[in-house]
Amino acid sequence: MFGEYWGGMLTVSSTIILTQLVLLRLARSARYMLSTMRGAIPLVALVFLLSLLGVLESAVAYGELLYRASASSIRFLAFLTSFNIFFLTTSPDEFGQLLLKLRIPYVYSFTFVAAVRLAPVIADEAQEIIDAQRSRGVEFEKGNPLKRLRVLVGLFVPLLINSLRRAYEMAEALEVKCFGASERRTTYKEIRATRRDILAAIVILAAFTLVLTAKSLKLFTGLP
Amino acid sequence: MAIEVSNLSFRYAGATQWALRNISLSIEEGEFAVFTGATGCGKSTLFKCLIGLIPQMYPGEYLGRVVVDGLDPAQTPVSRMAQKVGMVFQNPDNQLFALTVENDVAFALENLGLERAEIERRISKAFKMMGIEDLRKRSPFELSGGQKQRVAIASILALEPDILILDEPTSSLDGATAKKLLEELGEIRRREGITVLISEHRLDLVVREATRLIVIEEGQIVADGEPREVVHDLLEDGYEKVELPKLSRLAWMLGLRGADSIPVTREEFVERFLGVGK
Amino acid sequence: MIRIDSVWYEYPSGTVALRNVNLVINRGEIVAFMGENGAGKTTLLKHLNGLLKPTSGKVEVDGVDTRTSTVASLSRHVGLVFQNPDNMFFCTSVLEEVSYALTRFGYSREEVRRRAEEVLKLFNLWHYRDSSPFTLSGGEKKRLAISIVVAWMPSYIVIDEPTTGLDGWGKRMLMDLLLHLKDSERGIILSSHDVEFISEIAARVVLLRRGEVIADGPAEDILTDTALLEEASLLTPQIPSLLYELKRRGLKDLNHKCLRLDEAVRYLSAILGRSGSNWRGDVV
Repeated sequence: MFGEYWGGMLTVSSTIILTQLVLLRLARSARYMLSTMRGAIPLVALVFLLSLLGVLESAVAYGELLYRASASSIRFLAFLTSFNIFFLTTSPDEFGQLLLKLRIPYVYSFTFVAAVRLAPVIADEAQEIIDAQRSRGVEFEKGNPLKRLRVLVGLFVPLLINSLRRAYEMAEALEVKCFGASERRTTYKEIRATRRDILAAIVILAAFTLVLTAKSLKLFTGLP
Repeated sequence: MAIEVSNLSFRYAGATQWALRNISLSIEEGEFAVFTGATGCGKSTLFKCLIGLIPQMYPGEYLGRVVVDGLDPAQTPVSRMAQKVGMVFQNPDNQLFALTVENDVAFALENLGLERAEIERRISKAFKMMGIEDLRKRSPFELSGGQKQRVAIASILALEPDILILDEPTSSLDGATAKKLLEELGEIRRREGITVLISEHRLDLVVREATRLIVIEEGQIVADGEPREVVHDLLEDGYEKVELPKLSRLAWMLGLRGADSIPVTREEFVERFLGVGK
Repeated sequence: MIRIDSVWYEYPSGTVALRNVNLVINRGEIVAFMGENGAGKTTLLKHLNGLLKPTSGKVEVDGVDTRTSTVASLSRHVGLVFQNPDNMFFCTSVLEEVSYALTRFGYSREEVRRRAEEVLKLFNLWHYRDSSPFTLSGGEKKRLAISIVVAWMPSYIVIDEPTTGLDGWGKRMLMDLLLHLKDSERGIILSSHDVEFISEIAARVVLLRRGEVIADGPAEDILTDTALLEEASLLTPQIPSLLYELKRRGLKDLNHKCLRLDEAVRYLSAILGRSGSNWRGDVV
């Protein structure tokens, strides 16, 4: 019975990992991906430990315990790596254009791109505010939870006020750049699917079908 | 006449003070007009009136009349005004929206629904004007402050405006970068015949390019004219609210002044100084 | 005394922002760190109150190694004012804003009130004490930001880009305040690329380029050295630049180590006066 479990899991995880490797090869960013994933190892270990503790009480057999913990870890890893691949390979600009092609109104794809564009600016600003407050005696990492909540006012008020100002400034800039002026907005860069994109789509679809068929044929009975 | 402002007063909705008081001003085509004055004196408010952001985006009490390139900015949609009057703001981070420089410069043109070939033509020209062809494929994140502001200016020049308004475009730049940018703007004005309106605190960096110097205080124009004459008059009146070029101050103290004008650049100072002995 | 000893700093992103910086800053000095944007000025300032700790080397404030102390306790001695005042304010009134740090640093209620009043009067902001800091103009905000730090009278007042966003009036006012604050017990450290401002007030200039100190010395030596300033991508201040040009145009023995407006007036009027109608011959 355990043999079946492990076999199933091996199939699923190797499918996921293989698919991801192929995608990475296509995107030519395998090395970078590996370096960023190194930081995830402690997290995965933590998930493994936690799920081990979580099922400990149900007093199941030792093998199943190990099996379930490994399954959660692999799930978590698959989740992490998938996100990582998405953000490493997809330019938000292009993703925005894709949304447009899917006939999602421009305002939404614009909002998405602007949010991605602003994220690092706001992160820098938050760091600057924290530094400024620490320099006037605010200690963010000290005291009881209530006190800590109170000092956070020193971060959030300036952040909020700056964001309001930024919102006005951006609105002005959008106005003078004729945002929404024409019903038929054109796009300067059009995204076209290249051969590699199609190949990637085929790989994903194939892997997806494989796992689904396996599941519907109950190839791995008792998989959680 | 590129711009004609007559008896313009404006008070923001909810404010007690008038932000602009009875401003009358005319600016001819091809001028390089420098606006200066203390922070909060009303320069930005005036600029917003010229493109119609006031009163269209910011309502309030609006008196008087403005004509820009034959259009009334109070009545004309901002997107239409923007094709005649380009406006560049202080902080480049808040006026760049895309993730590559070329998409940013194309942004306004896409909004207007222009054909791809036309967009290509215009952005190539704008890149060339600002000398940033090599930044085309870069991301705005990785650029320096000066480069970002150049991209912001290019993205407005791509609209091919007759008038370019820049609201404190150099305030976050260091002196050397600011000076270079201001000189390039002067060059663009001379070459393309664009009318330039700019607000700037550091007069010594910009005065060389200026054909006109306008000083605003508390919503009113307190001086307006040829820069050498305006600086002369301000020195004569002991006006302290703006930072006049140090060398003009020096020339004044040394008595190197004409009847109604004073050197504002190094070369003019040197000529006057060496001329004294002759 | 602040001692910066072979300091290297590398940001987590891998950018090396400081390269082997060695400096000693004494109380009673006005020192300006100068260089173009990105030269490492702000990174260096953040080392002075321990916000950043050196990757290698060490920083000592009055004998205390910044690695062994907290930002809060170092800040009592080294008051750092950030470039953008909007990043500082979060209280409902100007008076509270100034009182906040004083209370954090443990002053009694009366002392907080006394110091707040004194500093707000000094900075000409007392009439705004009950206003919200967000309603102030740019120049007033900048003054408030500096007054917040001056209120607890740190031994070293450190100001990042004191003149950004200030108009001519604001700059003059700030200049007077800084000269007023300068005494033998207090060091004033500025970072700036505003050569005109610094040439009027600073005695010592430290030039930075790409994280390295490329010069350190009296302002009248450094800010008159055109080649050196160019290396640091800074403009030459108007007065030395003018004297340099006069020299190039024939006044060969012109001593162009003159920086401040009052010195230039004295110096040049002497030349104009001494020479009479045929003065060019005298000087050349």
